[in-house]
Amino acid sequence: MTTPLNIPPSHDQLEISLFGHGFGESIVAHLGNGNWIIVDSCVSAKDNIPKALGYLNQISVDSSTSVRLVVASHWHDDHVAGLSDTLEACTNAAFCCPVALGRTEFLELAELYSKAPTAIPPGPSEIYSALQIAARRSKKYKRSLLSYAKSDSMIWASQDRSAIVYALSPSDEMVHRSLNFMTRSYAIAKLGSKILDRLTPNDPNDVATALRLDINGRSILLGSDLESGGNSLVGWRAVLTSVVGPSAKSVVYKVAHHGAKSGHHDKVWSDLLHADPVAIITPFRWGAHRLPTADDRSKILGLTNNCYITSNPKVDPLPPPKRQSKVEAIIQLTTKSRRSLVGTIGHIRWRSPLNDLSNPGDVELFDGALRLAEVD
Amino acid sequence: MTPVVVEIAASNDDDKAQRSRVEAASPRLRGRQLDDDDSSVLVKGTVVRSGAYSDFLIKLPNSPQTKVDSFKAEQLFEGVVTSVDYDNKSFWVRLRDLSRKSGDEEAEILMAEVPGDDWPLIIPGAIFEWNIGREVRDRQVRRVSDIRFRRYFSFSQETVKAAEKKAHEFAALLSEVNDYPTEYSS
Repeated sequence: MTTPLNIPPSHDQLEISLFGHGFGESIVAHLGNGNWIIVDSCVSAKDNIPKALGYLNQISVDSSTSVRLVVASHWHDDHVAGLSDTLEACTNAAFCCPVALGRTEFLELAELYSKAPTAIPPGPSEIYSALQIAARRSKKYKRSLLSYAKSDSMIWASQDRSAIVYALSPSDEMVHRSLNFMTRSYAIAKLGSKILDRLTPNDPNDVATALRLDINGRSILLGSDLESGGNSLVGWRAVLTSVVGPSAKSVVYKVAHHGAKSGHHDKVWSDLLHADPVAIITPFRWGAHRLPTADDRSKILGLTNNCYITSNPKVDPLPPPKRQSKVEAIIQLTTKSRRSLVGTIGHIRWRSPLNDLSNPGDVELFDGALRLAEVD
Repeated sequence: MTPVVVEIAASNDDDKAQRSRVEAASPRLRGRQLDDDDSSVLVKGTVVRSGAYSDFLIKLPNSPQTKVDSFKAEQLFEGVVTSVDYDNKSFWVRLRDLSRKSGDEEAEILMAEVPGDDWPLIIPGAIFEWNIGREVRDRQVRRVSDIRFRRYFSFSQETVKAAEKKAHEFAALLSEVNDYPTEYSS
């Protein structure tokens, strides 16, 4: 039975809510006792408000006091839209981002690109703004409300340690590669180049932060966009050889990298996850890419019977707005295809009693979210 | 110098007469080898040349240049290239409507819509402007579509220095706040 969307979880109920529409994702989690965290951000096209804030408002949770941590798992566009607005509104929250993004290499690059004459914000701007908010807030309260994610690190814990958030990545090698990329990009930006480009980070394996939430003896794995390729020093292979602390296997898995083959590693499912876990996915529509593909879906459905996706990757979001007919005619002549980048944001909500480890929890689907098996 | 093979195509912004001239010239030129400095081909229109190592498009001189009397912009986008499909000679872009507030869009555009000189600039991350409007030239009104990439961009030395100064100050602040106790370590 579905609980009305606007009913908040009780203090002794866990919640993982995943939002996504094809280009953007955000996770809102209740870790019990009124402690909320937000991982990544996407913005609702309807009201231009970060989806996480909109949802917390819908369920009458005060973001300004209840959100304890906002995490940027990496700085790809589909994970950071509205991130700084989210942190600004969550006035009691700490901020966490991959460790390389707090280094001078990134700060120089972000500062320089903030001067680029573009309407579409350059890649680093959201993270940079969030860092500024966190620094200002920390200085005001004389308390560090800023933490950096790297493999095997605790980035947040409740006062009684019943809920702990661990970063499983980036590994040292990933950090090293990130810094190299930034140094190179900065050198190019200083020299000037044949084009004005919009800086985007390199391979997700060099930047993405996978998280494990340990709550009262239960674990939840949030895979970010972490990939499985490369050597044992990066990505899932690095995580699998170095997993922090003793913990039960995770019962819920936010599938890495939109369910793509590149984010799949068999051992994640066998070593880090409970049998038949609740798996939740956001699709990815970008250019000609559609994730997860049919092969990806088959593979995942062979691993769990409990897989859900926030929206159908095969269905395009809303058509673009119509313009003056003669202008529209030229646009249509010039483009082979066109669509809105964002559509309705689907929502998967998992809730489970905090103190009943045997209870697998309930999954509820809103706004077009569906079982993965229903994607044909 | 790499010889290239000529193909002919009219461009969407060519008018009807221009398209006819291009089509008429096509059989004569299609398949002909052309050197980079070949100036003997005076086709009025758009010549698509494909070379052994790279594909690019050139526009040979159109009819004698006339002065644009006025231009009224009707639609302006800023775009960023997200991927390039070299097989289909098209590229995917993210578009932001600068004429009004609306959500970003995504589109696939044929490379032939971009002036040949700009083809090497069509790479992921490249930023361009797409302007649609009404142009008056020699008292003739026509609607034009102009996709223009931002070329040879560089930050000024002052901007670079100021950015470095601010970044280092901010790094020092981050270092300071990192020394404060954390919520969970206290």
